Amino acid sequence: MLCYFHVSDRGKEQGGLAAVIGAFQAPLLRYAARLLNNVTLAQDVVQNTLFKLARRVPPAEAPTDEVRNWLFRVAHNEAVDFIRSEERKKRLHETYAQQQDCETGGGLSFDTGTDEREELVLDCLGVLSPLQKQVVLLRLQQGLSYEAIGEIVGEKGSYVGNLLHHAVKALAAEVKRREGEPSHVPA
Amino acid sequence: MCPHEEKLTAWLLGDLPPGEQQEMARHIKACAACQRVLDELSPVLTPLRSGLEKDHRLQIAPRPARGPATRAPHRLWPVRNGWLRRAALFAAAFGTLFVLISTVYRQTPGDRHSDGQVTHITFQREEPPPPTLAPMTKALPAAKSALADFRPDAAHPASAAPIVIPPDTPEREPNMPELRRLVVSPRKETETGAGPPAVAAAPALSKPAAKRQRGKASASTVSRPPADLQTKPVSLAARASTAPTNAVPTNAPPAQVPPHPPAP
Repeated sequence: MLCYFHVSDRGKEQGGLAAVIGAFQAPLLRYAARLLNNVTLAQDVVQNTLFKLARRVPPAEAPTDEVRNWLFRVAHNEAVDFIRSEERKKRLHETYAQQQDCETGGGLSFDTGTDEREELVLDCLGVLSPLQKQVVLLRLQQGLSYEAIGEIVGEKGSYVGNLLHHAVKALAAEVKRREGEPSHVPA
Repeated sequence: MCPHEEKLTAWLLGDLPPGEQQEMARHIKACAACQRVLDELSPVLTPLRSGLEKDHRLQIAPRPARGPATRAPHRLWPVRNGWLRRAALFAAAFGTLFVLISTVYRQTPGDRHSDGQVTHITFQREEPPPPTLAPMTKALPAAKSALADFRPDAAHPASAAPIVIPPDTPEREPNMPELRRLVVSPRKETETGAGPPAVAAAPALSKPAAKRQRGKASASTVSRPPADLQTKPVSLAARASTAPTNAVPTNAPPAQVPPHPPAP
């Protein structure tokens, strides 16, 4: 990816673009990886997002909050488009994430050092709607404020709190349901 | 009065303002219903938050350099030089503007600026004048004289008079006298009627033989002068002194020659 946006002294424009990429590429990868529950797909999504960033008008000259919000919004749309373009595009976002668990052998192929409780909760993210999942990730993973999340998702800041609360309640219900099943109960 | 449940989530995440955060803490201690909601949310929200915060340890390598996965940008040719593209765009824009302005000014009437200002210059190529016929001059006789030497016979040899091929002449012998050409007047032929065909040339005769031949011819045919012939008496004496003669010059007095009788 960096090959296409190679940092050089050609001009201020490319220098600003490289700074933006350097600042937001890793958060975008983490965000997309949790959104899609797959690192490989997250790389493709972030790659397309950065391509759009390079063609953005006006061009991004610095890693500002406006550019950050724009990047996360485009990344989310890219992820949703990617899911819809898949063979099982009629499935919902959470169903697709669960399917990826089966195909890739357990979701993300990296170990973040989470304990079993955390792993259980993170696995339940697939039950959330795309909007809820987006809000949860932007708040708890990226640490954005309600106002920034509202700009990204196109909603008001007060509604973001509502979405977040219902997402947590949905996760709690799913965790409770899974804890009642023998297969998901940790030994 | 219990606040909205969503404020409990915000209180757990620490998103409330400092004043509301402390007030919410005091309320939860005194409210059993809110404590039940917190007991439901907290076992999920705490590991979710800690689990997602651990994602910062992730070191996901970006996609190795290759083309975009989907919807690759289509370009007719790779544009590497930004200034070249800007120059091309500027040239295209300037050309389009020039064409538009010239078209508009061409369609407007010429008297748009009637105060004498030169608004546009039109270049027009001058056509040569049509050819005109020059009046008849003195050069015509010259042209006529140029045609004076025109001979249709030469131009059309087929219509010319038949070529008379001279008869073969015998080879000249060493001591043979030179041939003389006898010319027969066509008038005599017409007077004599259907005579023998004209002989273009006859073998040369000696002088006495020629005299005899002429004597025979004069004896057989009488020549008549033309009617309009005017005769004038001439003194032969004076003529005889000057007229050439074949006689050998002698000292004898000239003979008295009777005058020629007038024609009847």
